[in-house]
Amino acid sequence: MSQAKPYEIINPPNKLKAKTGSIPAVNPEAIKRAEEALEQVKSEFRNWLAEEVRKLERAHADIHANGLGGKHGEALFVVAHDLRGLGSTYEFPIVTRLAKSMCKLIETAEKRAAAPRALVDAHVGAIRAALIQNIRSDTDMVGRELVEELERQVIARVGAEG
Amino acid sequence: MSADRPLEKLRVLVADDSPAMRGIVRAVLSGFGCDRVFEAENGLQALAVTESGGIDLVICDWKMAPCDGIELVRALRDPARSRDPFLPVIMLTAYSETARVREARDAGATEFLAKPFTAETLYQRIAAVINRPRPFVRADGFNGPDRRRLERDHSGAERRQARQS
Repeated sequence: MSQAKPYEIINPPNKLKAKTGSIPAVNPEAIKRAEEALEQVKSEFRNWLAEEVRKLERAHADIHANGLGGKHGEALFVVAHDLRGLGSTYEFPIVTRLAKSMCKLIETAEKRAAAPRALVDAHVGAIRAALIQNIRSDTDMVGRELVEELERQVIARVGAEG
Repeated sequence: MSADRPLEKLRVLVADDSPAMRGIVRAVLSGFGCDRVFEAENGLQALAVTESGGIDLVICDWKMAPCDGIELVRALRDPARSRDPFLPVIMLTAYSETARVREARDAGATEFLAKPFTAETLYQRIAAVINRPRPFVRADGFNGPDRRRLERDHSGAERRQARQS
């Protein structure tokens, strides 16, 4: 039998609860106010997304000039990763889906070395087109077919879990 | 505590390399009554803010440079490097894969929330941190909240052994 490693259990003081007391597990009023606060900044969403897409285009131009290896490929992944997190928040869930597929394709240096440039280009082009044509979700038939095709191609290369 | 502003007294640090995302989290927190929000654009800045003290909760992105969210959590949990190794940390990231959740948990993150997030999911994570805190485990190679809450119905052999002091 292997020797168990020692451990120590600590119950630190709950400093947050000391300040707030117990808070309701469900608080529709607070959530409604938060959603109203988000409404206040919503008018900026499209501009903010456009700036993120410009970053993507700059990073994409860099990999065309310098290749997907090294810092340029990593920079492209970082921008795609940010878009994955931001797209739906900015009311463009299809951008989140496209960026997620792109991240899967170029997440690691090994994957970037094997990624077909045309497939990377297709993801960048699709994200750009979604913004320009205001295609926000996969309820748009053309958008859905495009994202599904890109996802199929990525999964065929790196696997569903990749 | 006001029921209308449940988080009014908290001081929250939001660490994310995206100014827009920091603004969104700030807006959501303001809806919960929390107006004392501090910002950092990478892990190093976040560490500097926590060193000045007074932060109650950290909400951090994973993918930041220099010093990403995982490095930040590890530094915060390290008693030799951290002012408060028990500081609650919610990892808010575009990563959503199980392996990533496990990695964040193993680094010592208190809660994990995948982007895109909603006001409701962020509230739920904060409520869990406040209402259902986990004990901390200090063992060789790990300092952080007990990871077993994510391992439902642990049925394996009891491998832990209390440290004799």
